[in-house]
Amino acid sequence: MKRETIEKCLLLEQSGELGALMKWRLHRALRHSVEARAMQVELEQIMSAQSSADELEISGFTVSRIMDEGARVLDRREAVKKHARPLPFFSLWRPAVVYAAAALLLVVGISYMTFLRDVPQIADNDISQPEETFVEWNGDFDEQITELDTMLALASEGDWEAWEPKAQDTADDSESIARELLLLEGEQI
Amino acid sequence: MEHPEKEWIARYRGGDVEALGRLVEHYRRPLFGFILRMTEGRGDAEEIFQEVWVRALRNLHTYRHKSFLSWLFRIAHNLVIDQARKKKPAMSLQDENEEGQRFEEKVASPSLGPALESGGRELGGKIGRAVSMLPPEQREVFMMRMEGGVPFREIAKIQGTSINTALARMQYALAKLRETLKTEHDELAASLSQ
Repeated sequence: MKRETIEKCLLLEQSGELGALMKWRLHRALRHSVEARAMQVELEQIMSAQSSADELEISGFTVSRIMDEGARVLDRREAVKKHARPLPFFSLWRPAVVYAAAALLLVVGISYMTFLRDVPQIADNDISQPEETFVEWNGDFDEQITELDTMLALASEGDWEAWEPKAQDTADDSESIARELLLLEGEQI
Repeated sequence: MEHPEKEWIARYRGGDVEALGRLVEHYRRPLFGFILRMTEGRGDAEEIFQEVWVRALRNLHTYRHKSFLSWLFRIAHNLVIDQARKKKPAMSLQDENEEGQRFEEKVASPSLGPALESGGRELGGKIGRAVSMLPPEQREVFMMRMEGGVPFREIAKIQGTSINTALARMQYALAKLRETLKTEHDELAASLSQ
């Protein structure tokens, strides 16, 4: 290690700011270098000599003024505490209202969010799962289907007359009905 | 107790003024030593020392630092700068005061009484004089570190510089002290190499 680095490390070690690695390197240098050891001793010597260098007495007047100021600071603090007015009702009431409003907003917000989350689910259900409808079975339905099938079959063959009622048959029916009615009334045609 | 000052602060906050007295006494030496070295005389130093405590007490509710002493040093640092600005900005160490005494001679032994010039305190006296001749930034780092035990990281914050700059200032200060104390240094090196 360089002399300058050793001195820096010694200073930092003395102040408790030297890292572990540098501390290890410093102690290795101290073991191997006379000059490093001399620097260490010199530093300690300067420190101990410095600490016994002066008579650092302070005049009683200075100390008493500090103590007076200390007492004044405490008195002022006490006075501030005593004269501190109690908080007016509004000061206590207002925060309560603010907190209540905040809580209400929170509840409304949560409810609204829940509602928004649920609405699309209902819509999806409507689309994907339609309501089941129960239709009562109608017996005529089979006949109608059969007739429709027949009509379609005939239509495909182009024979439309096959299914139309014949005019001759209709006339026969009317005559027989009229004959029966006259018999009932005792008249002959 | 490991940190009695914390208890004293708490007791003072609780209304015990005596606890403040203990606190002032506890920090007297490092704080006043620092201020004394950074100002031009005992009168100024005592004034600043008092002002540091007044400001600290008035702003005790804002104190959040880990180290109370570092906080006091920070206040002292600002007050020393303020005072230096109020005084003649272009004042040189070679200037003379009203009594015809050069400031250089005055700051060379700002607070050393006769007792310091004799016996086992001779080295301390030499160091004291050498420190007084250092540039303010280097002197400040040296005093905060040596008197207050303030870590370099904290010193760097107080001076508004990097930790490397604070370390370099300390190294310059030590180099100058080494020059001043060359005889002692050579004797020490010789005794270790034997």
